[in-house]
Amino acid sequence: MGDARGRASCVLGIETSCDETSAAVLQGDGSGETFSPGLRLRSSVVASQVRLHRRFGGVVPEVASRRHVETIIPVIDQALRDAGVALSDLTAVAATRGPGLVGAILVGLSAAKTMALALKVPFIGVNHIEAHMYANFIEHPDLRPPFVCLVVSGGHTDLVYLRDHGSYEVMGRTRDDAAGEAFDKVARVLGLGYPGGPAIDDAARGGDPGAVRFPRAFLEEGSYDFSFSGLKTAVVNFVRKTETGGVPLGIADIAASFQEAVVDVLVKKTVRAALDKHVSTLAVAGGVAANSRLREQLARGASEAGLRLVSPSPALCTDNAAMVACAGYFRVARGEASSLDVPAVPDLDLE
Amino acid sequence: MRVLGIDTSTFTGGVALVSGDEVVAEYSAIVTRTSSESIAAVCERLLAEAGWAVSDLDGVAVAIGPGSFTGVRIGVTMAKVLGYALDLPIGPVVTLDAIAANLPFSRALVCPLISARRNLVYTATYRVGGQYPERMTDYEVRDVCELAARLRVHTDVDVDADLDAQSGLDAYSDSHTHAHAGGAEVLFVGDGAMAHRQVILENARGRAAIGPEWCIGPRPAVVAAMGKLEIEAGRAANVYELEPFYLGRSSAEMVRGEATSGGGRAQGGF
Repeated sequence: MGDARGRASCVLGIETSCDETSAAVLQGDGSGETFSPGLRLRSSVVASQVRLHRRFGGVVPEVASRRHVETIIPVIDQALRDAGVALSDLTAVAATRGPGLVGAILVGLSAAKTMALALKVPFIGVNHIEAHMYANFIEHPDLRPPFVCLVVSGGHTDLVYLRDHGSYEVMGRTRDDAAGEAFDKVARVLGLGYPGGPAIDDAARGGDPGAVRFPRAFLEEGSYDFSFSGLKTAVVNFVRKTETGGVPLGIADIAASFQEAVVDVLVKKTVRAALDKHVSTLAVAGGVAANSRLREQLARGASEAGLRLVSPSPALCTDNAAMVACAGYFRVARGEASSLDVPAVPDLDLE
Repeated sequence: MRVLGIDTSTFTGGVALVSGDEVVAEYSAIVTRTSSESIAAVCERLLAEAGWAVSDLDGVAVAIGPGSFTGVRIGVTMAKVLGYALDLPIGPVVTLDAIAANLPFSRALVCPLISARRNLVYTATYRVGGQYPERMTDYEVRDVCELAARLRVHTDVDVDADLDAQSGLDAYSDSHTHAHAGGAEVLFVGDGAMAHRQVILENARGRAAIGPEWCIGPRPAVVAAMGKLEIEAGRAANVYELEPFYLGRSSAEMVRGEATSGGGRAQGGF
């Protein structure tokens, strides 16, 4: 919709790709090609289902989808109230269309399309990985492409070169488990509960990251791909050996050592990718980006390499609709809109 | 009253616009999941073709299931958002009722069968002597083989057997008193009837028929008309309370069942 260009814009974002029902309102001056000092997050509501899925040690898709239908209207309503905007103030509606759990995505996607139809405003279908990266623009108004971004969560571990708005190159991704998945599995083995990311982060605080030298998979020379299944197995085997050998199990040390092995690989590859692409900025996004050790080590790695590091605040790292609204905002600013036919795609590509 | 009707609850799906007693526009297709996702686009086109603005609508009707879990969620979510954004009343319609309404003014009983998982069907039994169906049984999830076996038992019993009309087949035997020469006494319709045609006909011994293929799913215009009746009767649903009619395990039961079975993952609908 070309007529949206340059005008003040107020985007409703909706995110239901996994176990969070979320809606947010983002307002801006309508410019997206240059930096946007007027960008303002008016509200961000996240109804988490973590407690519902905790007993399964993971997300149950049918249960998640049912909960999204129950929560979607209250969450949208709360987002509009918190923002202090009326439905008639909205200029666009954006929703995640993939990747993620298709039955879950379809609730938010159908809601967003119907809202756009009812309000006669453009609809924008957004890639979930793109949205994670765009969380960085909300709090860093001077951030501009190009930069390299590590997207690391329970479902994804992608190293992306963001050449320009809407133009991405996936430099590497995980070949087996996502980093967050490894956190969940190791947390379960250590009896730390679900979700594993925050549990390991907490447990590792008193531990020695050098206590156990777990393997780091750097893969072949020059590769930006990741692999965490070997590390996961090594931790599981180590825990079993410790238990049978009667050695007192130092959970803090094991958690810290495992976390260090994940962080080590993530930081080294991300810094190398940024140098490889000759960018001056490095960004991080996704649920695991809330991990305190990863943030600390990325900051150190970036500083040593003379790079600027940007990261969203922890609440914008985990799944949220503010990031979806932000990705949608920049697309609308470029005059883009999606058809109401756009399907949900569980394995949607970024490129 | 101008009502937009939406059905994405089975593998047929579509949209209709009704104004008073008039069907203004109707779109129906055999849909896959992919096309039920595009129902919002169909709404947009149909409204444009009818020359209606969304602000012309006075209500929304929606088929709430039972049927495809994912499909039902799409329709219910759309109805909720339209109700919320345009401040419209929502008329919920049970998919089985809408299918039964495909066959009005008939002396036979109508028994829609909607395929569920494995050999299960969603069903209920209706008298359809008037314009709108009159439901005689509970909504049920039944095994088709069990249903067929009971059909055989009931065709063996005395036509005047005085059975309690608790299930569709009890209602069926009750209907024998209304039997008319040469005609089937129970009409099975829906995708479940098509899929299990053989076993039903073999067990019914001439007293049942399978409805025509054009009665296989709910017609969007029927959903719109029946939803409009709900609204006019003061039974409109609140956008916060409107729920899919899953007819099976509730979410709470699903969570409890999963918890006791040791943490396996639930299968996501069908």
